[in-house]
Amino acid sequence: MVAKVKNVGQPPLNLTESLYVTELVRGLLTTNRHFWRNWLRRKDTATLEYPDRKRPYSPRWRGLHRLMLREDGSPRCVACMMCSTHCPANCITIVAREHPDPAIEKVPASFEIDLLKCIFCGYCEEACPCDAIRVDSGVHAQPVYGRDEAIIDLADLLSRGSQSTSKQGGRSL
Amino acid sequence: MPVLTIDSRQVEVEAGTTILKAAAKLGIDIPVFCYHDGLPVAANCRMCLVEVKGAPKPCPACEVQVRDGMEVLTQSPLVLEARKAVLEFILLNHPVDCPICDQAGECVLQDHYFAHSAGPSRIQVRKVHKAKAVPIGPNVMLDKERCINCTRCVRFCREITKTSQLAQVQRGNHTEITVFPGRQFDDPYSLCTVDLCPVGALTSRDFRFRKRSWLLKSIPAVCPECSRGCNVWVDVADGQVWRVRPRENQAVNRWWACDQGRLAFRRFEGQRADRALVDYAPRDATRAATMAAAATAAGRLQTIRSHGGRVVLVLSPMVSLEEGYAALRFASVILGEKLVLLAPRPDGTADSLLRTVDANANRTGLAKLAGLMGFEVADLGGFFASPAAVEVAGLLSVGAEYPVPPLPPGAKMSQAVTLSHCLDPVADKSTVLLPIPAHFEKDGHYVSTAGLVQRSHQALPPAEAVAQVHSLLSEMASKMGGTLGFTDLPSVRSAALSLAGTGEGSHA
Amino acid sequence: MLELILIALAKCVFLFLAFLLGGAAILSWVERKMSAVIQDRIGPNRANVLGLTVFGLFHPIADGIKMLFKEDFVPARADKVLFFFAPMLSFVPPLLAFMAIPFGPPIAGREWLLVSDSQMGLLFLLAVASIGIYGHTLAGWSSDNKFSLMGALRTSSQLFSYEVGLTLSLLGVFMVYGTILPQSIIAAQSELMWGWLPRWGIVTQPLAFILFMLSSIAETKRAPFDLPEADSELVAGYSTEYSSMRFAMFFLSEFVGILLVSAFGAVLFFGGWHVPGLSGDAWWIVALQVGAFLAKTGALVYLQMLVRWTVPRMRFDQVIGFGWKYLIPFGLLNLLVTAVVLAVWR
Repeated sequence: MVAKVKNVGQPPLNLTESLYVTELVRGLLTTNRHFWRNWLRRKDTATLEYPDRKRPYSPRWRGLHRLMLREDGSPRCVACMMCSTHCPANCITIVAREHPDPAIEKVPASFEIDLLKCIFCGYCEEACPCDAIRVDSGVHAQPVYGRDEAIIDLADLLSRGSQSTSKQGGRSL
Repeated sequence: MPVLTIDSRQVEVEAGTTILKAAAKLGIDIPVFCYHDGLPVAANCRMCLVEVKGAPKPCPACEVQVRDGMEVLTQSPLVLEARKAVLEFILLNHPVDCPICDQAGECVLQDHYFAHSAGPSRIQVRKVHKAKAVPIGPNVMLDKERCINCTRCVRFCREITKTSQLAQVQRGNHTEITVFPGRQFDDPYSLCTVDLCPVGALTSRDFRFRKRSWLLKSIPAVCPECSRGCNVWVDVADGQVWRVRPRENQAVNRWWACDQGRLAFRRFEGQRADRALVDYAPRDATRAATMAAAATAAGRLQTIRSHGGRVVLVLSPMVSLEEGYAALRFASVILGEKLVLLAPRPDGTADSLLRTVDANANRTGLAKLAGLMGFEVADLGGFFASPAAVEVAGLLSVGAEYPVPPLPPGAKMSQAVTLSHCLDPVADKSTVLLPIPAHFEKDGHYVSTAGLVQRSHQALPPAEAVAQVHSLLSEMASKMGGTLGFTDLPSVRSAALSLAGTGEGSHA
Repeated sequence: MLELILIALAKCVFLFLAFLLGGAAILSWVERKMSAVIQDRIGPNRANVLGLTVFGLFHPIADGIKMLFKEDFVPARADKVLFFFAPMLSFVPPLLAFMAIPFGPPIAGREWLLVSDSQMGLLFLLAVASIGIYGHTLAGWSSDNKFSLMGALRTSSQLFSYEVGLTLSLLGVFMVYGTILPQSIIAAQSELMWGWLPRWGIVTQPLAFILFMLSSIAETKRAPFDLPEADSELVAGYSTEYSSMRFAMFFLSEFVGILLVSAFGAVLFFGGWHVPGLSGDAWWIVALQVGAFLAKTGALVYLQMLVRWTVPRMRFDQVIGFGWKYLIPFGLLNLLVTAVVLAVWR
């Protein structure tokens, strides 16, 4: 494919522009105007004085993942692998294990998310049938010294967890 | 022969054929739960209901036999409504715990629900709850809630293995599958019921919760556990075998496979030979280190040979035709031997369904190959008991897993070079151990006890240091000043198969 | 005699140290703050004393302390002696030049607010100020650094070129007022034309004022003529290898230079301390006149700063070409017209 070339020519200068002096004066007037507007009333200043003032977060900001809890504090997650299957970045690694209570049956033995791979798209949350994983903690991922430290585990995910309002297992009916 | 019309298309079939099979001849798919080609018809799930002109109500296609001039509709409003109603009925008490169900992804109920119903549940009363996660046998876990009472498992135990260990008890929506009190579901083919179960009621205890079905890749292979040569699917993911399932082959194993064969892939977990051992000292886990160890072994065998000593080939009948051919060729060209010692695994238990006494996958094929190449075939144990064994100074063993017979008194044995995939007693007695691929890691041909040549495909890549038998032996041959006449696996294969005058699927 | 020395000392302390050094330090803040405000930013405002920031006015102090405690680095193969003297040579001449600038009118017939009431007048200023070129040139030469040397060469060629233009632009003023003594020029400018217009240099010599501003910006090496220290090409030009207080001297000399040309311009073109319609010996009138001088100087400083943050840097050949092909011919033209007009007028 031949790239399309669009020639953008410079517009020719008219008489006053070609003298430069008028343009120079116009430039000086512009900077002068900015000076006085900003000096007296900070009209155009967009700077946010960061540590003192912080910009409010977007309501769409997600933050780190968390795993929700059952009433007894154990994870709601049943290790169905829906999230890891849907994950476009392949960042979720779950190992399942048998739970002694046949009503729960399957729980994660380990649940790891590689934050360096994660793109925080929220598909895991969408895929979860149990309201177990959520990407809504609002907590920032911390910088780390090694790649291994960027992998968050079950305990870390549960530490941000809370109880869901939905009933798990559908055993009410 | 009767001619009937299904969905305005005419088909002529044998008298006594069911509507389901006649439709299948036309390529029309009728959904079923309880019907299975290998089992007697029960017609209890009612999923296959079709409309027959003139019949007072829909008929089960799996059971009703065709009649001349019959008119069958499989997509009429009545049939679609019937399927929907049947699915709603089946799902009344189904727990719908797909997230924790191992069957999810390969569940017939899921598939049919999406294809034929996809409506929400209208049930307003409590579901009937039954026992979950009941370990009814050493290999099978039963979830009574998920069961749709198709009775495939009951019919399998009654009609195929004839153990009748499973039964249906209670009535109505309390009907459940169970074993007899105080008894275990320890049928040697119990895992077949897991395959048969269209839902997740019967699941494998070995495979349970290990991997989701949609993550697995299936590779066609041949089971190595006995001389039957059952066709299997090897389900792999993440460079590991997770499950072995039977692959339909009416000539060999039909739809079935024994539990022993399915779980055989776990036999050498944790004791695989993944690097070379020279005088019991491990070498680096690299291909180069393995090849260096092969050169060491070649040097030692050469020393024995140059002093006029005798090196004898020991061949495990577990290896493929290709490996056996390479080994025999090495024995005749390099070692100058016309004797091969077959070292079989001990006999197993046979039964009337599939399992054979001979626990070796390729004894028929290798014995024939050795004969065609002019070898005298002897048994390892018998040879060691004979006086000739005293004179043997070296052993080259290809394949292992055989019981090591005691050395004859006064034996001059100084070197035992073994090409093996596992660290078993044979490896313990070897002065040089060279790692070769395990069964599912190699591509090779096997001859079943019935003489059928079958190909088993490579399901997994072997570890880095592991080398194929033919490349190890080629390396050793070149170090010992000879050549075997082949370079890669296809050339070994064509040489072996053309010698035997056979191809895949033909009888040797 | 002793009285003269004491008076001279007092003048030095108040005018030099307080006005020049303090002024230069504050100008460094003005430059940063002004550039920020022009560019819609906030500018320095973090340095604080007990939580007070006062628009960032503590930043010059913080900068000074920082400069004092920085490592005094000397390149291994530098010419140590010249490297040592170069900053002083560039820092002292603009300070000395201020001796010829009157800050206010004579009080009781004596020049209290003019350090040196010399007969050389403003020629002294021109002569002394141009010595600073040596400082920059030697700094670049002694640093043993290619960037520094390039900066030094650019400095010398640029300053030599514009020195001519600067002097030509002044000649017209000297001709109009017939003197080179600053107080006499200011006095001549305080006369009114047609009864209402002060005879300031900007009125009598408008072209000379433009030429003066252009060449004085080039003399202080500021944008768009800041080629000697063009940081996109030469790191920091002649001062690349300098650190600590030696760098601070170069830094301050630039701001003292700004003050100098602004004060000089105020004297020549805006009537110096003169306020139209204000004369007398009362203390408040003198204070007002000194204030007027400072205000005129400040306005010219503002103009220079504004130019710097408006106009992008020129190419070096453009700078030299502009100096020789436009500035000097226009200066000569101005001289000719002035001479003809003066000849016809009288």
